[in-house]
Order: sequence, then structure tokens, then C-alpha cells
Amino acid sequence: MANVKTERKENRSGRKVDRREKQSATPGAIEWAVGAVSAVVVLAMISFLLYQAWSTREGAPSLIVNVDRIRATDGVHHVEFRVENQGDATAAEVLIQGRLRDGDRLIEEREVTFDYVPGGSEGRAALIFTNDPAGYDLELIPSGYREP
Amino acid sequence: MAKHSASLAGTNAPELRGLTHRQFFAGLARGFGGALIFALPMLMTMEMWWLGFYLERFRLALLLIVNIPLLTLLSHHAGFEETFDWHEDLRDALIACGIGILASSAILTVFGIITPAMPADEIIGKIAIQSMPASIGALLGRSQLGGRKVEPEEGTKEETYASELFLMAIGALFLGLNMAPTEEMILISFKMTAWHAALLVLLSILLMHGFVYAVEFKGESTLGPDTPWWSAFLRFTLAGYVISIIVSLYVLWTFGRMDGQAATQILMSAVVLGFPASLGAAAARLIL
Repeated sequence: MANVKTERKENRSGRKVDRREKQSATPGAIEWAVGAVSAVVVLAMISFLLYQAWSTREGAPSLIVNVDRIRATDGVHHVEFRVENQGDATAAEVLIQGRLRDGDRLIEEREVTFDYVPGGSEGRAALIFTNDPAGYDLELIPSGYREP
Repeated sequence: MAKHSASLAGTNAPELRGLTHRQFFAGLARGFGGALIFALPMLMTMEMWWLGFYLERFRLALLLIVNIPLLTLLSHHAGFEETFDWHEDLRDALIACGIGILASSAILTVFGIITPAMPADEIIGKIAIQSMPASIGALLGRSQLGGRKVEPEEGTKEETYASELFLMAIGALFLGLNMAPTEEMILISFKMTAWHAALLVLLSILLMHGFVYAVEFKGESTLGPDTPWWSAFLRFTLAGYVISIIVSLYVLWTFGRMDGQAATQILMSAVVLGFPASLGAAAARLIL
């Protein structure tokens, strides 16, 4: 068994030498094609990043909350929403508070925290109210964030 | 081993069977060893446990499906049979899957991460996501701990090149999978500006090229001594880097790290994960 193994290994390295000589002379067309495509992709990546680096100012996160829908399940009401960060900077620990008001009276208050809402990205979540938001004024506001 | 093979010719069938059985079980033990070495960092990462239950089921299934041809090809590279017998390679790939699942289940149970009280969906998800890296480890372990080496295929020029690139992809997966599930990957990308990211791309490529040359000096590469630097740079370094980025993107997508993210953020996370992945790709020939 051991003999067979060494023989094969020798065989392999022996062949490799042949191949190396052949190959260094003329790398195949496919190799050049893959290399060229890769070069284009890497250049595109770097140009995109540099373009972003030039065009984005030292901005602040700009958080906007939109309610998607309100779903009643098991006697409670899920207010599903998405928070969109239209700024360039990433916000961490974004606290979203939701309130149900009847005129000046606060009926119910709920809150949820997003770990991260990166610049230009969005996150989705839901607040759970026991009262039906349909009967009151629903207010969803981003309360604060910190820099990551 | 040599003694056995010497007496093999004159022996009868039962002894032969005994030998192959022993080899088979030694192979299984090596597989378990490889699975643990490869997958322990992930088995002990809490994000990986969470991914097990919240990961989208389609992506998880796709990961496991992609795993089979990947392992089959890897088995072809790791075995020392010169001929491509895909039956045997597929069999070895499936055995590696089995070892991966068993090893993951055992370790997760010992850690108390999976308990009988959990729903089947959660248990299966947690095991499934760990079984993929574990099975790659099992397959590499069977050959590596057995003293064999993963080598590019001996074939036509195109086949050899494709096989070099494949090994690079495995190397990228090797390091990429270890890092990808952690929150630090996206956190780093949030802390970096686009300037930093562009710099990291250049740094990754520079280090990769160093490794490509290191492999060449070890005399294991298909590059000849008279190959100009830009030729190796284009055909191996840049191609390897793009492969690392593709692998990073796939892993990030699988782990749901791209959902709802802007294009810049996706690219920056891919560049961050691409750093370890590209080093893995470049060093694949050294570490695999």
C-alpha cells in the first residue's frame, strides 16, 4: 500500500514538472479571460467605493418610520412598520417608540430597539398594542440612536 | 500498512475484509476529528445557534444542496485515485455529510444548545447549519489526517486551472464561514468609511499575492519560475480575490446579513469578510 502511494506521488510530481514547463510558456485563453474579467470586477469595486468615499459627506442618520399594516392576532394588535435610514451614516440601537393617544390623553406606549439601521438601508419590526390603534391616534417616532 | 499489503496477495477474503473495515473505521475517526477541528469555532458561536432557527428555510436548504456537489468535487481532489470515479466521490461526500450531522448533533447536545424540549424545526435548523462546515472538515480530515494532500487535478491545462480556482474557493469558505456568522463582520463594515474599504481591498490583494508567491516558492504551484509577476497576479491573485468576494457574498446572503441593506453596505460587508476569505483562498494550497 505504502509503495503504491509513493509511486503515485512521484508520478504526480513528475508530471507536474512537465506540465509546468508547458504552461509557463503559454497560459490558456481561459486563464487570461478569467484574469481579465476579475481585473474588471476588482476595478469596478474599487471605483464604486472611491466614488462613495468622494460623494458621501460626513452625514448623520436620517430615520423615517412608515407603518406597513396593522394586524390583529389573539386579542392584541401588531403594528408592523419599517424604519428607513435615508442618511449616509449608520445608526445603532435605534429606539422606536409608539404611542396611542386620545386627544391629549396617553392610552398606551410601546417601544422596540433596532441593533443597527445602516445608511441607505431599512429594518422591519412590529409594536404590540392591547388597544386597537384604529380607535386612537397612532404615533411612531424614532427616539434616539448611537453611533456604532 | 506495508506489511499488510505484502501479505495481502496470499490471504483469503475474510482477512482482506478485516483490513478494509479497519481502514474504513480509521477513516471515520479521522473524519470526526476533521469535523471538530473545522466546525468547533462555529459550534461555539452563539450567532450560529440563532441562525439555526431564524434563517430562512429556503437558504438553509440551498446551503445543504450546494454542499453535496462541493463535497463530491473536494473528495475528488482529496483522494489519491487518479481516475475520476464519481460514484466513490459521491459516496465519500455523503459519508462526510453523515459525519458532519452526527458530530454537530453530539456537540450541540453536550453543550445543551439542543434539548428534547425544543421543537423539531429548531433542532433540525441548528444541526443543519452546523453540519455544512462540519462535513467539509470531515472530508478534509479523512484525507489530511491520513497523510494525503489536497491537490489540484492532473488534466488538461483548463482542468488544472479550474481545479486550482476550486481549491481557492474552498480555502475562502474555510476562513469565511468561521467569521461570517459573527456580528463583528457587519459592525466593522459600519465603522469603516468607503475609504477604509477601498484600502482593505488593496491590502487583501497585496497579501494574497504574497501567498500566491509563497506557494510558488514552495514549488507546489503550476506557475513556472519564468512567469512574469503580472501574469500570476492576473490569473491567480485577482481571480482568487473575485472568487473570495463571491464566496463572501453567498455566505452573507445565506446568513441573512444583506437583507434590507443598501448596495454600499453589502459591498462593504463583502470586502470585510473578503479579507479573511481571500487569505484563506490564497493560502488554500498551504492550509488544505
